[in-house]
Amino acid sequence: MHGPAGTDPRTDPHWRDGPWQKAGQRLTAHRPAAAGLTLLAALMLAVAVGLVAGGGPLGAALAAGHQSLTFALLAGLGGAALGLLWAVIAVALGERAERAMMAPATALTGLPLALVLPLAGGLLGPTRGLAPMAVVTALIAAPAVAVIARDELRALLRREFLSAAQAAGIADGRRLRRHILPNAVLPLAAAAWTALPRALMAESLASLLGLGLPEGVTGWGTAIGAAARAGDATALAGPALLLALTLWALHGVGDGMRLAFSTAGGRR
Amino acid sequence: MLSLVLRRVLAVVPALLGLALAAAVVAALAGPGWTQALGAVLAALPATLALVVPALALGTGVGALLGVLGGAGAVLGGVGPAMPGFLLAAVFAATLAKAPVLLGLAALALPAAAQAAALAGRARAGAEDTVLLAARGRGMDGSALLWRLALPLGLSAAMGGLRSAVAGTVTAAVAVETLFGTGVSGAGRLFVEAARAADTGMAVAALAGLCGLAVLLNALCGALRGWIDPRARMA
Repeated sequence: MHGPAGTDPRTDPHWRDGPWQKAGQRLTAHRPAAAGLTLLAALMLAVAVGLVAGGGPLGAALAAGHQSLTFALLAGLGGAALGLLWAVIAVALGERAERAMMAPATALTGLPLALVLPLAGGLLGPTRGLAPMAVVTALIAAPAVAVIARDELRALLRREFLSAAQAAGIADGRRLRRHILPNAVLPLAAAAWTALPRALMAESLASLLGLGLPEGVTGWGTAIGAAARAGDATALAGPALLLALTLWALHGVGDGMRLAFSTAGGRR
Repeated sequence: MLSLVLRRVLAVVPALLGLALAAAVVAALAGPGWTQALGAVLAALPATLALVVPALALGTGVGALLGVLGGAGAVLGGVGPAMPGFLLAAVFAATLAKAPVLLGLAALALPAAAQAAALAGRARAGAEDTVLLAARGRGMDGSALLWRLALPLGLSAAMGGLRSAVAGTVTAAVAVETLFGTGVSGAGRLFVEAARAADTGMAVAALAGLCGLAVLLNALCGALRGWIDPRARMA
């Protein structure tokens, strides 16, 4: 790649950095996203330290964070994968199938879906395992991801450079591999990220009601619920603060990703 | 206005009927007392409605005004994601042993207000160098600018986000009804108690009732937004 005359490609950041570096710079240029990333890294480190050298109320809150974060991460990743799959299949199958597949997803995003998790927790009983709860959480998070991912894919497929590639007679497989996929990765990652705060929120609500994580597994929601029922404000402070910080950080990073990567409506 | 409301409400009637049918089928499969379950849920829904609607109206209105004014609204919008309704409800319930209903209302209204403030602030920033600049150039003064242009713009943007706010508020209302002892007991408490007792019929009926509430509120909010903002009537 050669820069315009007068710039040295080795020093001018515009020509030196690859697309991934530039994407990272765009993401961290958004201040809440940079703060959120730092906060998430700090929280993970603190949770790890709290697991090793836990003790006292703060250690207990950090150890509870380990359960909450692990569950939210696994369930969120599952939900993101389901949502992306939903959107990709819908877009790939053509317009009529897309309408038929996306209408229920859009309708589901308007419902209080998070309440399905406490329902599942209650019906599965106190001996419920973690795996079915994670599956239900993933199903709760999937429709919103699918709706955002579909919008991103539609916006991407309307871009001029894809029409140009088609007009240039580039074969379908090569167009998908060289033009669509590299440009779809970051917008879809931004769509997938929204599953994480959703999963954490659904799990915390269900655990707060005593119908989330199984007995013996203490997450932030479980600790908050126990403290709220006992009216113990000091026991509530630690987990509530950590949960609020985590949610804020996840939303901040998600907002930053949408602004930095979205084709559909981020940089308007 | 009335025809818009009627059209929007009629459009969701099939969804409501479907929800009711699904709830009735599940309740009938679960046990013999399914008519009582549906009746109990229908009787409990107004209490939840009385909690959700004022919170949404207050939160959206005040949040949009604060967001348009900037300052406190920007701060509120910034910390919004950190305070989902159920977390606020738990904090309020733990700090005040005899938490009044008003506090539960605040726990529901604050997240809605934060979201409205963020959306309204963004809408105002977007209009700053177009509509608002033109109005200033024509000599419109501050308060007229705020009430005639900025607030309607912000309110419309805030109502665009009501779909997720409705779902979030209904979800949080369940936590409020469960945590706030006596005083508020609607479909949310019915739902949690049935789920704890593993009473499938009652729990599914209550969940269907809450979903129906959300669907109906979404339709009404859509009509209201269409009334405020003609651009939204097409959707």
